[in-house]
This record gives sequence, C-alpha cells and structure tokens, in this order.
Amino acid sequence: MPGMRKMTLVMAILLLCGGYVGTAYAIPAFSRQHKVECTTCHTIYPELNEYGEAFLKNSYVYTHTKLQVEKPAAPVILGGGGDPALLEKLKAQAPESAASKVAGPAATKNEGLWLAAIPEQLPLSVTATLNASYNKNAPNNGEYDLSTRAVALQAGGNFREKFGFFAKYTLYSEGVYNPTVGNALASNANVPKNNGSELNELFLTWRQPMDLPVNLKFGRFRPKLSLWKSSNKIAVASFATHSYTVGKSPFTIDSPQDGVELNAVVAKRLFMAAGVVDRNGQKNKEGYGHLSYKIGGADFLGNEPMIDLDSDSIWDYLSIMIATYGYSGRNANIVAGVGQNYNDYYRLGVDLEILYQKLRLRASGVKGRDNNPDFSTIKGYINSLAVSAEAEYMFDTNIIAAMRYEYLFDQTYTGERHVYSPYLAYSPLQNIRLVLEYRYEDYVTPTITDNKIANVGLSFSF
Amino acid sequence: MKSMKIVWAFLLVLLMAFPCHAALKTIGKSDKLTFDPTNFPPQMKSDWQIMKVKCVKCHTMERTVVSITTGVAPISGQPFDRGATRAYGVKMMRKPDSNMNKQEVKACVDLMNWMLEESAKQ
Repeated sequence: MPGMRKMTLVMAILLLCGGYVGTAYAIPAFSRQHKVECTTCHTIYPELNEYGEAFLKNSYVYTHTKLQVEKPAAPVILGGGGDPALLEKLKAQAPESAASKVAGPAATKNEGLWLAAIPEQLPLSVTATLNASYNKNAPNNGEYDLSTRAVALQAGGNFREKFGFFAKYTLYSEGVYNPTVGNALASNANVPKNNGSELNELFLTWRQPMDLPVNLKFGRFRPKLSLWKSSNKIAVASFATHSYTVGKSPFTIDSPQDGVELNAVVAKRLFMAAGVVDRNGQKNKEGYGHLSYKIGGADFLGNEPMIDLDSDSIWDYLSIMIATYGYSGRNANIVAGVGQNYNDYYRLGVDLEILYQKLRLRASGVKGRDNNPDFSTIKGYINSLAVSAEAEYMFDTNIIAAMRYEYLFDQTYTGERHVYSPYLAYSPLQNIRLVLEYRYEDYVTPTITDNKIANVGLSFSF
Repeated sequence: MKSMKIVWAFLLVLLMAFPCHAALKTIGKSDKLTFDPTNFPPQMKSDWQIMKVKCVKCHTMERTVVSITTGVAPISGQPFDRGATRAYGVKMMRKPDSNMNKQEVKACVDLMNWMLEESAKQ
C-alpha cells in the first residue's frame, strides 16, 4: 500500500476515469498521464473521493511539495573514452537537467516537451452515456425509452503545474422527441436527432499567478457554488438542488457560464471561490461566492490526517465538509440580441457531507427568488426551495447502494413534490458504471399525477 | 591439521565477505516482483504475512518494492521515507475498501520502515 497510490490526488487523476454526465472532471486522460487507476480519485466514477476532490481543487495538479532526492556529490572523473563502465559513472555524476529537477519523476520524460509545457500524451478522453427508462404514466405511448443520451469528448490536465485546463465537447446528445409539436418526420423521427454539438466547458486556470495565493480561472465553466458538481454522483438523476429551474428561466446552479473566478485553498482546509459571470444581451454582470471547510480526513491538498496508530478515535475515519454559497444574477428573454423583460434572481445554498468509513451522507439546500422567471412584461416574483439528502453505502469497491430524498417547492405550487429515489450502482470495471434507479415523484397537488420511473444508466469512459 | 586450519580460515573469510544487508532480497520480475522474506527477523516475518495479503488487494507488490528499494514512490515521484510510510499507511487504512485495521496498518508501516533501513545499508 505504500506509495503507490499517493497520487491519488494527484493524479488525480486522479480522478479519473470518468466522464461525467454533466461535467466530467475525472477523465481517463488523467489515468493515462499519471498511470494510476480510476479509484485513486473515485469511488465509482464519476463520483469523487476526497483525493479526487483535492486534485480538482488544485487544478489537476498533485499538490504535495516535490522534494528532491539529492544525489551524493561524487568526485569528478576525467576521461572515460571507450570505457562503458566509466561512461556509466560519468552519466551518474552528470548534473540533473532542469526538467528532471523540477519534474521529479519526469526525469525520464521528454525534456523538450517538458520545456515546451506540452503533455507527452494528448490528454483526450471519450465518455458515452446510455440510459433506459420506464414510466408507466409517460405520454404518447412512451413508457419505455431506450436511447443514447450523450457522447462527449473531454480534455484535461495541466501545463507544467502552472496552468490547469479542462474542456468538454458534447459530440452527440439525444434530440427532442415531442409529438405535441406536430407530425412532421423531423419532429417524430424514429431515432431522435442530435441536439447539435456543444462546447460545454472550456477553461484555463492560472495557478497562483505571480506567486499570489489564489488561482485565476477563466473561460466557460461551472461556477464553484455547491460542494459537488452535478456530475459528482453515481445516480442517473442529478441532485434537485443542482438541476431545478424556476419558470422559463434556464438557470441552475451548475449551468456552464462564461466568467472569471478566483479561488484558493487557505490553511489547507478552507476553500474560497468568487467569480463574475458575463451573460449575453445585457450589461449587468452576475456574481457568486463560495466558502467550504473540512474537518477531519485528508485536507484540501490531499495530505493525510495525523492519526495515532496506537489508539482509536472517531476522527480516524470521520470527515465533515460544510459549505455555503450565493449567486446573484440576471437573465432575460433575448430578442435580436438584446435582453428584454429581465429576471433578477438569487440563490443561497448550504451543503453538508459526512463521510465515515463506507458510509457517506450528503445534504443540500438551496433557497431562491426570481422576480420575473417567465420573462413577462408584468413581473411576478417566485420564491423557490430545493432540498436534497442522500445516504450511500459502499458494500465493496465496485458496489454502492444509496437512498435519496428530495423536496422541491416554488410558489406556483405546480411543481411542489417529494422525490424518493433508491439506487444501486455497480462497476464491473473501473471505467464502466451501471446504475439501477427507481424514482417516485410524489406531487403535493392532488390533481397532478405522481411519477414512478425506473432508470437504468450505463456509462463508460476511455 | 594445518591444511584444515587453512580451509577453516578460508571459509571464515568467505563468510565475512557476505554482505551484512542480505535481509532484504527480492524475487520475481515486473508485476510479479516481491520481497523474499526468508531472511526477515521473526517479527518482520509476522508483519509480512499481513502485508503480502493486504497490499495486493489494490495494487501489485511491485509498487512497494520499487518504493522501498529506490526511496522514491514510483507514481508520484515523492521521496519514500519514514514519513511517507506512515502517510500511506494512514491513507490505506482510511480507504473504505481496504479492509485494513489499525493494527494491520501499524504492522505494515513497521515492516516498511525496517525495510527502508535495510535498503539503506545496501
């Protein structure tokens, strides 16, 4: 168990193997680059463990200080012409290159590529997601739905640990099948059309520019709000707190946005992030902030906790993460490139995660208010609330069972519901995830039919 | 008798010529590479019985051998010293699927520390 896995973090690769359905932060490119298994950073991909979280927070860089293993100085030997043994001695005495000194294990890598900050391997990955569902109450004879949901191309890594980068490009996602819009073939193709390719994320993070204690992230990315990305889950469905919308407003707290973010790990256990988002069609900028703190467990840099091997303590296995965040934004109905009928909104959220050995508990709550979510000429505000709680238990490395409860409320009262969702995830290989999930959506309004949905999710990444 | 003395003296010299760090030997190659516990002290042999079972649940023993014998963790490139053995031990103990308790981790850490000392002699 020694050293090998340390990278965990790192490498995060850590992270690895996985593509995320929503956002992929752990991709096989990390595994290839750092030569570590997916479980270094994941439980069952794409859900991250604490080392994957640390790798992500540090822009895909292993954060442990790289100490140089100094070679003992050897007396200089002159000569050596034609003597293989002497030549080896001379090589052993040769000063290390800049690349080998800084890169440690990179000593065996291509120095030219290292100096150019170019990854030795093209850091690309592909993730495919296939879902099937059964909903007895689905309209249009659509009880069974078997479809390819998405194929995504991902890239991620770092440039000489000074810059981190990530990109996700959706090559295919299932087109809308909506017979209510008409009977044209285009609307009702037997095989749903492609929604169209989409650049979901593309960002670069400058790690501690000019030795400042913060990282600068810019591009298209998901603002750091919740403790977890919407993709950081095993279930098919995202947490309601990550995915709920109000009225016609498309905003969710995990929507990709164009923006700039400053973030930093402070004192190893506090993470702070703040950013500005630019939205087309308006002058106003949007802003957000995040604070999270971790008690117990490995810190945000991936360092192990101090544990006394001679006595027991509950903190040997217990870790608690808490976070709070806020987002203030404005969106609008865009007409001819100009926003109209603005909707000003905010979201305030609190997250909690408790990890104890094989048990993980997550709880999340988001409160919001939109003053014109339908983009009407006459504004009408709507308050909203979403709560999610989930308990998962790892029976083995590749089997996790969980139960999720969610509650959604908005003042229209049309969508208020309780959702109960047990699921079982199995990973026959580390880069393949199979999930069986049942969702019971219990609407509070009696006139709305409850949904009882069975989902089978399959995803693989390479 | 004289010739016998010479023979004994010769044998004694031969014995003295053996390295004193012969306790740490490896056998096998590549992913089959592992330690040869033949010359381990009794306590270390006991610890080895734990280590050889627990460590290979998630990775090959080759990783451990390389870390111990080179002093550098092969994946991270970090120095593999007494501090690292403890950190890795704790990390493995805390992995939900490692099924290692504190006593087992302590045994592995003690063994790795002893191995590092032996390796340093070579």
